[in-house]
Amino acid sequence: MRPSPLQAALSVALIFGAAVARGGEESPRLEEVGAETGFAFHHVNGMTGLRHLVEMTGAGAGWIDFDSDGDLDALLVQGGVLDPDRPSPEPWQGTPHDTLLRNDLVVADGSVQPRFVDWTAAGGLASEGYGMGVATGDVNLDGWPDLLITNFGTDRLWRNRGDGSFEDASADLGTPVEGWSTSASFVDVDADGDPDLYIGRYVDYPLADPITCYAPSSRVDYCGPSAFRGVRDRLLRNRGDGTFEDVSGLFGIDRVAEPALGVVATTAAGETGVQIYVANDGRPNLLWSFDGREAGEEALLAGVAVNRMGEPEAGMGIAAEDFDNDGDEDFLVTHLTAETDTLYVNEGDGLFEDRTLETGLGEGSLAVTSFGVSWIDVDGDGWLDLAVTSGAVRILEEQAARGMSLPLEQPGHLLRNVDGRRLVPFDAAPGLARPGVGRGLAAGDVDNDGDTDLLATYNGGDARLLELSGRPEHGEWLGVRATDLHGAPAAGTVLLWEGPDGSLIRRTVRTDGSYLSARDPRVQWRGLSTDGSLLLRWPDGRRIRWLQPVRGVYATFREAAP
Amino acid sequence: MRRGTAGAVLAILAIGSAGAQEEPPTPDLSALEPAVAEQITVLRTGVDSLEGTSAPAEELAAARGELGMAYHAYGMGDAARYWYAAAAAAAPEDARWSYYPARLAQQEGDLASAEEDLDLLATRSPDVPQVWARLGEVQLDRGEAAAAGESLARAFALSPHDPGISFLLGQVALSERRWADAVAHLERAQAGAPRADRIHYSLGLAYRGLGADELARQEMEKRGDVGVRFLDPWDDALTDMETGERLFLLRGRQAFAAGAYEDAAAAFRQAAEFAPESARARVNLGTALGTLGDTDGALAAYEEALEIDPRNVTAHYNVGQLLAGLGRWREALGHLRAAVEANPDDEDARLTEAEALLRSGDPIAAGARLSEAHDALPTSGRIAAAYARLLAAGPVLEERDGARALMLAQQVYQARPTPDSAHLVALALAELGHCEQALEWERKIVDAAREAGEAELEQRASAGLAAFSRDPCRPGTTP
Repeated sequence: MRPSPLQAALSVALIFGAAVARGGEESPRLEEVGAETGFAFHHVNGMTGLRHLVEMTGAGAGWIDFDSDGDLDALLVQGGVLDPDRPSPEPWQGTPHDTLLRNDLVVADGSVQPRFVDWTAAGGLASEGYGMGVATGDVNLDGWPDLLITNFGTDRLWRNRGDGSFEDASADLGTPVEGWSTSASFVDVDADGDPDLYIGRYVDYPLADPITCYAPSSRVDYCGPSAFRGVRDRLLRNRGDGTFEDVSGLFGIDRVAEPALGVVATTAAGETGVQIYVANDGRPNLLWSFDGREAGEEALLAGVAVNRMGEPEAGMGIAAEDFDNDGDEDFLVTHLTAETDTLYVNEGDGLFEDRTLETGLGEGSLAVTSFGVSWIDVDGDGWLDLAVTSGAVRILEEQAARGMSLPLEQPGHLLRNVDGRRLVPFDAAPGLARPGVGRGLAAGDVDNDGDTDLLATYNGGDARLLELSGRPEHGEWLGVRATDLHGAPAAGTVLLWEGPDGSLIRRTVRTDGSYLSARDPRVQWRGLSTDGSLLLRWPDGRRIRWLQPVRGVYATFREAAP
Repeated sequence: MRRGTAGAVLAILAIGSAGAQEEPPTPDLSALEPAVAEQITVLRTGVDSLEGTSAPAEELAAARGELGMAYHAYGMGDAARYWYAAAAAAAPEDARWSYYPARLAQQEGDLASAEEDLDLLATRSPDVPQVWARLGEVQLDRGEAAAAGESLARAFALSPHDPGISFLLGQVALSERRWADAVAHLERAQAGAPRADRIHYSLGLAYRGLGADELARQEMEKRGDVGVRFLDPWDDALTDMETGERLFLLRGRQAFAAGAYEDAAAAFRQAAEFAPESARARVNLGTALGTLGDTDGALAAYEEALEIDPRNVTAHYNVGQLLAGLGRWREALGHLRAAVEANPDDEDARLTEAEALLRSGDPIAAGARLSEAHDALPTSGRIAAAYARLLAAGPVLEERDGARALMLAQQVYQARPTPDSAHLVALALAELGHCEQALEWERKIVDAAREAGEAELEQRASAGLAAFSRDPCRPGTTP
């Protein structure tokens, strides 16, 4: 159990990251990394021509340092076969399965570069369900990050043995989580020091007896979620030993049944208690606020359920970050074509204001259906830029007319955050802009150079690793790895950079958010002032201040036992 | 890529100077509904019959433009753009052929082109309110609140009673944080469109900006699904191009989702007319009519659907629920059984079926069904609660099973400790003869209700106290 604040003692250790320093380069770009790194994954959606909603919904990907060697490994969620009796226009070989790529950083051409090897079999990850998303967290408090794979089918929990392999611990979830799960988050809702599990769930999809829907042209098309019944999300409480019990009813989560796609845990609405923000597809979003015993739903009055016009939108991915550097977390939710991605700016008192159009985000997002989303500082100016993957969910007539079997390809986009008030197109990510059926997006510093790279997934296509070129100067960046007393990422820890002028820039340790994906739990700042200090607030409220932060390394803060 | 005026002019020049140098797009119509493909083919034939003849330019423009509208309505943007340009080449003074490409650009997210074209059009046709309103809407989406305010003010001057324009003016005021102005615009919009309950939310935001938190909360909580849009007969004409069962189904579903149930019913009726053998059109019609409170009409629609497709699960489920709601329990039974057999995971169908059996005077069958349901869906708290209630307080005393009822009730309470589940535990204890314990549970409910100021719950629980105070305290009938 978590020690009391009064008893707490804290230890600080510094772990130096990549030691190779190199001068900064002009025009930072997110460059697509090729096969030379060993990074390769192709998503199989199992489509058969029946236009099942399931086949174009997944899948995500996650960063996880499963072997605790200090670099990020990649977990790519695979689709699968929906109807083995029907031929697919996109045939595959073998049995589709989730894929674990182990990263072994190498020094080449004077810089540190990722090198991946397929570790799926060696890692014992025999995970062959029809996959949707991935969440990471140390469920049994042994310091090793574990995996949850959400599926169209039955969700699977994979426990990290600590020897480079995983074992199937799905039975520890208690009652099997069946149906259609999407994004999930490991979050301590009852403040007892262990990660509980919130699982977003989508709709009750009748695979054997599908409903037929049509495009405006009358062509057979994919259905939207309104054609089906929403299903209730699930909240599983960790008993403290890595086994779970369903407390959806106890906390009142089962009051609503909405089609959830995005999930992120946050403390945006205040320092006490945790909230879980859920993006629903075509229905008002939810903001669950926990007091340890029950959950209240507060999205409407907080101003994050619907857009400024009162319209519920097709919520897909979700991000919680301090986009305007004012010390609190703002929300961004990605949406359907003809809907904007929507930016809910935190007014600092638990209330939010939709400032989408004023930032220019409306124009940047209306043309595409967006899913994965990450705020990362591409140009190192201290403002988080916005990266988004996109791919349609309704057939694009021109692509269908060209005979494409999956006519849903759209370009993703990158928007530059000018000053915390305007987002403008940023032509620095050709690998993101290249059309595809974009879905997941996971941010992480794959080469430990202090900037953030991206892993983007594509339904029916190849995943793309986008590495931010132009290594930041040694002193330019500040990185923190905050861990709990067991050594696992201390999700929910808030870090505030306090500038000499009183400015606050907030980051949160998390692995959730985006769409079906899991991010790097480490946090980075770039473009900071020379002077300043760092305030770290652990989930239980204890604080520590770092007066002269060391730059150019990932500093590890480990929560100490009482 | 922008597709604004420059592109349109090039196309006009090509068509205007040499008849049709650029080959018109010919989308593949093979995957479309026959009625849609036929409509497009007929429109294209009409254009071809006029090309190269001495037909008046307006007639040729109308034929080309209407073909463009059809392609536009069916989501074939490239072909629509071509034919709009061709129409504009034949009749450049007709504002519609400039308006529709701008509308198309807006729908495709190319707001810069849309604004550029609408801006030009507004200068040429300053007396058309929807042009100014559309321009204002595009400018608002581009984050140009000041310009949007000016355009919308022009639209308002031309059409002051259009609540859709007032709503957009309210959005501009919200964008500029002119809270009092926003309240004024949005209240006018709400007065002009009282059914548009979505406006309440924006109004609530405006009140919140003014610091009137309680008013803000009241308005936001009134938010519903019905929105408002400004009058635009040209846009309506696009929608009117759509034809065929699938299109009316789509239109009906969109109207239903927006809470416009009468429009939805009308669209579903048209879909049914297009397809005499379509069960889905009739099922949707039944749902819309049922939502409107026309139960007779809904039942008739469902019956028609079941005549066409006797195994239609949705129709069975909806008829069953509708009849149950009307208290026609016996009639509901067959339909609910069909729904359960087709979808054994359907919690609602199983619960309604059990209730229908109970209310039809067959509690034994109800118990059997609930037992089956509990076996099939062991994690369903609602089924466990219903089953526990019947086992503890069902009308057939010899069918009761207090021990099993208590076990189920405790599981339900553990998952969700509400007054209802506590009362369930009390009922089971009473059935087992543990009157003191039952009283104790019921007292807890009374105390909690009193503390929370829940008078109705307190009154109900007090009645329970009286019942459990009797000797014997075994529940006599189903409460």
